[in-house]
Amino acid sequence: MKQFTGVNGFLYTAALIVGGLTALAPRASADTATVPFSAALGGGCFFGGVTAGTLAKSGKTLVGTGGGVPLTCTAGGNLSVADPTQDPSNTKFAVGMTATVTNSTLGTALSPSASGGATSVVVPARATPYALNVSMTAEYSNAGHINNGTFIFRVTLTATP
Amino acid sequence: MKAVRKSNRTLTAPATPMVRMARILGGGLLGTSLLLTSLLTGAKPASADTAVIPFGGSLAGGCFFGTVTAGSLTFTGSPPTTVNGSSGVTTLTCTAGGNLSVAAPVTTGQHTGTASTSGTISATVTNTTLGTINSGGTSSVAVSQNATPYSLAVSMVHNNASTPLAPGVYSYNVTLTATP
Repeated sequence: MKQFTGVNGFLYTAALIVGGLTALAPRASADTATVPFSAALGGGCFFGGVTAGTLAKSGKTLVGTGGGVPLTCTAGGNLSVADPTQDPSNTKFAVGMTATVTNSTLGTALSPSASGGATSVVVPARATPYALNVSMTAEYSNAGHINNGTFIFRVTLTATP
Repeated sequence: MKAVRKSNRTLTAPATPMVRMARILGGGLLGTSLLLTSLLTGAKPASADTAVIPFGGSLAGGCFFGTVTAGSLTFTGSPPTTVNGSSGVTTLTCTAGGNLSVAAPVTTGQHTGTASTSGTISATVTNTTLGTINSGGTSSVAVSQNATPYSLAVSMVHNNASTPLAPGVYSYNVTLTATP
């Protein structure tokens, strides 16, 4: 082992001290922090604002037209429509209540009591809403004609992704 | 008998003057050496000594973030068009006056949803003392030296305007930078 003595030893010691001081020279410390955010979003079907339809009397049948609602599916879905239901306070229509949903792209879906078509349609995912047109009919089964009054029906559409 | 004694003397090497001198000096040196040893060990007191080892250095000021609490995401709109991030938290301590800034959220490798390049995206950092900074506006604020850490609330928003967000994983990182 080499011994550092005399002048050489002094120089060696001095070098150590200078080196130590240099390593501890002031240096400003910056810092960063990363904050993570994460979640999963599933696909879904969403109806927009509803436009109420209107009713017109045609003999012993009430014909509803002009109903509408937009539908957006962010994943592929399925659209169906139920038979109309009548507000309990109205004169009862025992039979013949049907509903129809139509879109130029999707085609037409009929309610269970209707005949002559599919009861549901496939809805491909699309960012642009599908404009759905909704119509209905209600046949008065009792004797006589339909009395004047207020009639309220509701048509329920269901979209499942 | 005399003849024998004479014979013995002739067998022993006679001491020369040099040998006699050496014997005299050797005896003297030995005595002197013993005397000095006796004086030294008996008279000199114990010697204490000290050594001072210097340590020197300078510490510059710095800014340091504490533990990070991940935020959470919610989706708003029907269909969802906006991602809202909230409840992200961290702390900041500056041992010298500094500056805090926040960058816009960046999607991570796990992100499979709508790209952050669609719509607008920004991050916000709020502290009751420092105020609020936003990556889309005033994105930095001066931070004075503080012994008690500033608690920073971090939130973010990714607004895809009126376009529905695609299904998938939404994962972002918001980076805060503090420089003294």
